[in-house]
Amino acid sequence: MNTTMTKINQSKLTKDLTSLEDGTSVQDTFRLANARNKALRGQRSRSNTWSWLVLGSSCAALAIIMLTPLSMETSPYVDTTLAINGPEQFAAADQDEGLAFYYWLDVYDAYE
Amino acid sequence: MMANLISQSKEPEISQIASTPGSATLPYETMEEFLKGIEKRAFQMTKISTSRYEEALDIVQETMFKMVEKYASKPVQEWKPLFYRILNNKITDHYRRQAVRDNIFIWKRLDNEQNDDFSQLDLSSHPDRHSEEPDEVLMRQQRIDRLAEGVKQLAKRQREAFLLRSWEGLSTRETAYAMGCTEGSVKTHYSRALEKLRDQMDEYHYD
Repeated sequence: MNTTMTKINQSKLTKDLTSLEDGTSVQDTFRLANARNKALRGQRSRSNTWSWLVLGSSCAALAIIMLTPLSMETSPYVDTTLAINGPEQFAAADQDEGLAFYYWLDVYDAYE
Repeated sequence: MMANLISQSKEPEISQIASTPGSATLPYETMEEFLKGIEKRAFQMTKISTSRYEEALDIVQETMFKMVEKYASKPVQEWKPLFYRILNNKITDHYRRQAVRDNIFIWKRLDNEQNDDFSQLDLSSHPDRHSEEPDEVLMRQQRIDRLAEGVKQLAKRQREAFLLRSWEGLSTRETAYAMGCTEGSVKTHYSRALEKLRDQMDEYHYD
């Protein structure tokens, strides 16, 4: 192993690798400095969190839209069931209609 | 001798890093200075490792954030190995996510192969290069391009060992901590990396 390692001109290699580092563009340097300042201030980029929130909300909205027609189709059956199971509601409605008729008749007789 | 062999056969503890020779003289005292000194190198290393410009920037940013958040209170001597350990873990996470994405979105994998973000640097634009002869700059640029391409082709662990030892100049012990393996493994990975980079490294051998 050492036979390979000792042959290398480490200073030349380090110099080249350092020049690669020094060749970082101004834009990248600026972005890195910005990232460093954010890290030091403890402001993590929330872009990922926001994207997940938006995705989650979209999925929820889509699910609601897809389920809504189903609930509308089932609503008549629910009404029918209520009608069959609730005769007392019809009786109450009849009673209301009857009272209205007698009230009208009373008004009509008085007018006559 | 025996104690040395035993210590090399297990992953070093972070507390052992402070006792590494040469770690006493550090060019930074605050976290800001440390990050300022390391960020460009870390970015270039990550760019070589991931071949993705934007993701390299995100990875370095996440690493800096975690470093400040979790390890700012650690001794200064431990910062560098800790930083590279976090960075390596983030790069590993990137590979895992990339593998999952590639399996799900096959057409994106093909697209990624065609549109590699990694672009070679134009060193001639750097102010420090103005003092060199144009031929010298061109030769250096070609040499670095070949080396960077060779490093990209290395296996992940070999690449980590090479970058940390040759570029960052970490000791075997520090590299072992940063890579989460034994010192013996670091030597093996580094040796294999040099062996694979033989063609590219020819230009770095002493005549």
